[in-house]
Amino acid sequence: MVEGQKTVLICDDSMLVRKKLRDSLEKGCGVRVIEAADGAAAVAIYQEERPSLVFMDIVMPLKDGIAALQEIRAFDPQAQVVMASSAGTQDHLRRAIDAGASDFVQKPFAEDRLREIVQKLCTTVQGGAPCGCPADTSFSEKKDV
Amino acid sequence: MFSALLGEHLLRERILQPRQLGEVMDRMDRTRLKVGVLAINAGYMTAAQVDEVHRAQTATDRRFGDIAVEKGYLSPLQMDDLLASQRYEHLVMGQALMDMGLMTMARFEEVLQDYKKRYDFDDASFDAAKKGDVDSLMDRLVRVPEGEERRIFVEYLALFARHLVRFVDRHAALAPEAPSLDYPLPWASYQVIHGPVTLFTALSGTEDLLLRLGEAFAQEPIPAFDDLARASVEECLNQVNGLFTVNMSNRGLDLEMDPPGTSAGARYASRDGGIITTAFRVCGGLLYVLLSRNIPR
Repeated sequence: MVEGQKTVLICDDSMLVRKKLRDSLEKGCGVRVIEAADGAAAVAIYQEERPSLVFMDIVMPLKDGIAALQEIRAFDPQAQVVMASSAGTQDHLRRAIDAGASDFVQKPFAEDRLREIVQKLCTTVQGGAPCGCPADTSFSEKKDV
Repeated sequence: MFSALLGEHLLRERILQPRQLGEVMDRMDRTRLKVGVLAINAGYMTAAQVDEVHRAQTATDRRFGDIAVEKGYLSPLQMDDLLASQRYEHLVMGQALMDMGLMTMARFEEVLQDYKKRYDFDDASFDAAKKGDVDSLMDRLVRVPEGEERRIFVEYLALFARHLVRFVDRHAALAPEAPSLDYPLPWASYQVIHGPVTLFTALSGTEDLLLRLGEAFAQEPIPAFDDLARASVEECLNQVNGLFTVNMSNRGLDLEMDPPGTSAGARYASRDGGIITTAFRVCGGLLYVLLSRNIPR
């Protein structure tokens, strides 16, 4: 780990989502990435590693993202947790905000949105140095319909 | 999707050989331009704006033009202008068939009329289908019993079809004449949606087909049908279901999704009502979508 480098915890039960997000954050934002595949693991890893930022899926086995968020916030009221869901409903948004989420993003992640979140949160918490997010690179090429 | 369905019809009726249809589709790909490309070429939008609209399509089940107009990147008149060149994609197919000496325009018109008659389209729904209205196509072609649940199933399948075309295979199409699904299933990725509406959803296909689907969805090579490939198929299903719950939420129905999973050798047996099975031709194989209002055993 490079000194001063920010650590971001990705918590999602989908290996594909974790891989895509890890690739994007490591290449695009120069942060160290650690992973958890369910909410219970995320809480344990958070307590151990105290990452600068958490991306937390909502629907997961063992412990869902909202419950994990509540436990992390109880452990560390300053925790910066961004909730992520493929179902961006008003209900999910309200529950995430009520539980203390710092932000909410709908999956799949848009790379410019990721950079915006990482830059904002990594520079405002813990008085740390800004991350090294470069200029725009395309996250994915989609087809027209 | 209409031209892909028509292509299936031409194969089934032995009017074309698979190799000939492949050549026709290749020629159509070279002829047909995406709306985004047309918008850049016309000077209506920048590449960054087109990319932004593409990304928005991953989060909301809406057409390119609707999003571009809402964001103020295109005027409705500009959008009409662009879409005029994309409408009636079957005519591009007809042109390709004629250019390749495979069919006359008169014969192509006969084929269209045969297709309309075979699937019992009325004039309005056939015209809508030809213009690319997936909902009209699904309403006519999917085998879903009449009843209050039909609307939900048809809506889900139309959403699924659009998702396949947008994010997996632009030639994906319903396969209404596909053979019925044999149990036990080789592989199935499944997810349950619950709340005021319960919906069991699953995708099934051969290992090879699901690997190709996983690669196409992940947009990267995956060497074997491993955990990453299964995760990609599950995420494809999860995204469709996420969009479905957003659509339902917009109508006041708040639904929840369970985590998706994948299993081999499933023998689903549904209580009451049965399982609606719909086949799509995608990534060169048959993908079956299973839907049930009950969670099967």
